[in-house]
Amino acid sequence: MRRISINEIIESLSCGEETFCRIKGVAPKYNFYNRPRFVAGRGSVIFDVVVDGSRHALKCYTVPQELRGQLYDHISSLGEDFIIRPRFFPSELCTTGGWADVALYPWVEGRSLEWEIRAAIQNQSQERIDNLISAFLTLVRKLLTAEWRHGDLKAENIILLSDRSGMMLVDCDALYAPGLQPRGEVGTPPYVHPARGTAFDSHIDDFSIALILISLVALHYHPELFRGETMVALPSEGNREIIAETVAHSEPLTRLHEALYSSDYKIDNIKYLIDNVHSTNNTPQ
Amino acid sequence: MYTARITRRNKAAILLLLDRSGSMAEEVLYEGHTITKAEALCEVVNSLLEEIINRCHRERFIGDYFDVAVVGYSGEGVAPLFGSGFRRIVDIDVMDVPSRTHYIKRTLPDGRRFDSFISRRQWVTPHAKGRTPMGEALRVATRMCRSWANKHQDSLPPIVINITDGEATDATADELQLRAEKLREISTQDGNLLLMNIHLASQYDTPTDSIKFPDEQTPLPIGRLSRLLYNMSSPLPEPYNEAVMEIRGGTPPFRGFCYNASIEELLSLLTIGSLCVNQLI
Repeated sequence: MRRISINEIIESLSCGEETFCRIKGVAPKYNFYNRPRFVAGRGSVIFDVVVDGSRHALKCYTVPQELRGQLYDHISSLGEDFIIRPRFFPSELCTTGGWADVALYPWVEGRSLEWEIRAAIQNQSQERIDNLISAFLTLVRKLLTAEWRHGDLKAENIILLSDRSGMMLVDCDALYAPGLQPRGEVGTPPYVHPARGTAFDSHIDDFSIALILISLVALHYHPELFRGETMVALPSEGNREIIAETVAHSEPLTRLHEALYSSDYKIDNIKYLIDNVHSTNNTPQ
Repeated sequence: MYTARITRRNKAAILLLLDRSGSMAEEVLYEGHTITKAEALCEVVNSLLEEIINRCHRERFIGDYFDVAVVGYSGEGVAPLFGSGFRRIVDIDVMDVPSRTHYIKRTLPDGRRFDSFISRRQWVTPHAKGRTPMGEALRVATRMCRSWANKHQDSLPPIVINITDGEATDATADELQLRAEKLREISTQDGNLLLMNIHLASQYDTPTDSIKFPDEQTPLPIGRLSRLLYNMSSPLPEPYNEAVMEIRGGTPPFRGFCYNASIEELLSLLTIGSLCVNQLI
């Protein structure tokens, strides 16, 4: 199995629609340097494109995978409104490195939570972080009510809509749902608990939910903890004591913080804990 | 070990050592064209640099995740090919370098054919002259990597990939082995530096007897050069196993060594050699 390089995908996109099998009228958007606009992931690359006049995100996979079709069929059947549903095209893009699977997402106007956190820190806006916490809590409460889990929950995969009306989830390649077969997608370190391994169940988002929430709360009160990385609550960041003090007056937040140091990837009663977090007012100034 | 994630705080370092001696003027077949080995090597290295930059693309910025250096060695000495040592990948991306247009022929699975012109940036340009001071190149690499590792103890250890088509002319086998060992002793908290050696074939066509990342059962060709380069190379740590098994099967541990590799397959070998790009957060 040969991995397709991003170079090869870019070169194919630059050749026009002849390199596509079924999708017609694809035109990449270009940046200031006249290069296609894209974001690289671990096994894929996502381009900003126009298809037949409307803007889309075109996700091109660099590694083939047999069970991807089954996954996308399942995603399209989900009823929740906070997940972006793509159309999947196996073996769609011809590159010099082979045929790449492609997923076409409707464009959603917004920015990733990763980007929003950095912007909030750079603008020294405590209020902006507070709003991110509220939006994130709303999102994960809905997620924990669903029967599926995202599987690769990280700040880059959470989009805050431009109108600030809420957050949406993208990139569901590691999605868990009852009946779906494991596909070897195990999320992105360091958002993954070390003990998660290849587990494929309804607890695979527990650690990342706690990590993102506690990091946001910590940054709300201690923006100085930000030293380039946004997930300041990671055990490897060494902020355990200061964050423990910050969340000490909120039992749910304290338990979620302690769970980051647990040897188990599952967090007992995570739904109850999240339901009982009431924004940053729970913690002392 | 070898599990540190690459972040902007914990960057990774990749150093390529390129043989630019006279023998690299030999002609090879590359992407359907007859060009010199030196030209083909530059094409491959430039593609690798572009790919590393691509992997650093994030939402509206290029992440400062890698420090990269390319050092050439030839009859004219040993010197970094851009800058004075390691350069940040974000700086490499904005370097003012010429582009070269390539003509590519494609055949789609339904039989349709079409041709296209692709523009590629040229950070490294071809050169083939004189002798092969590989010993000095290893010494320069040691100095550069030691300095880098001292400043980046929480990072992945540096990766050094030496690409050559022949024997060193400035050191005996024992001296080379010692210099390689000295280089491999450099470490970060995450492990020792990885040194890989890729020996390029002399044949015009694809060689049939090439060896890629051998395991302990793989017989080496008779001849002291293959044994020397094998011994100089690092055993590959666990994160490499899957990618190596995809191209050759076998049983780990594998060695960071390729012998008689064709220029056509060099990019995929380098992609495996620089596999750490997958450890980007």
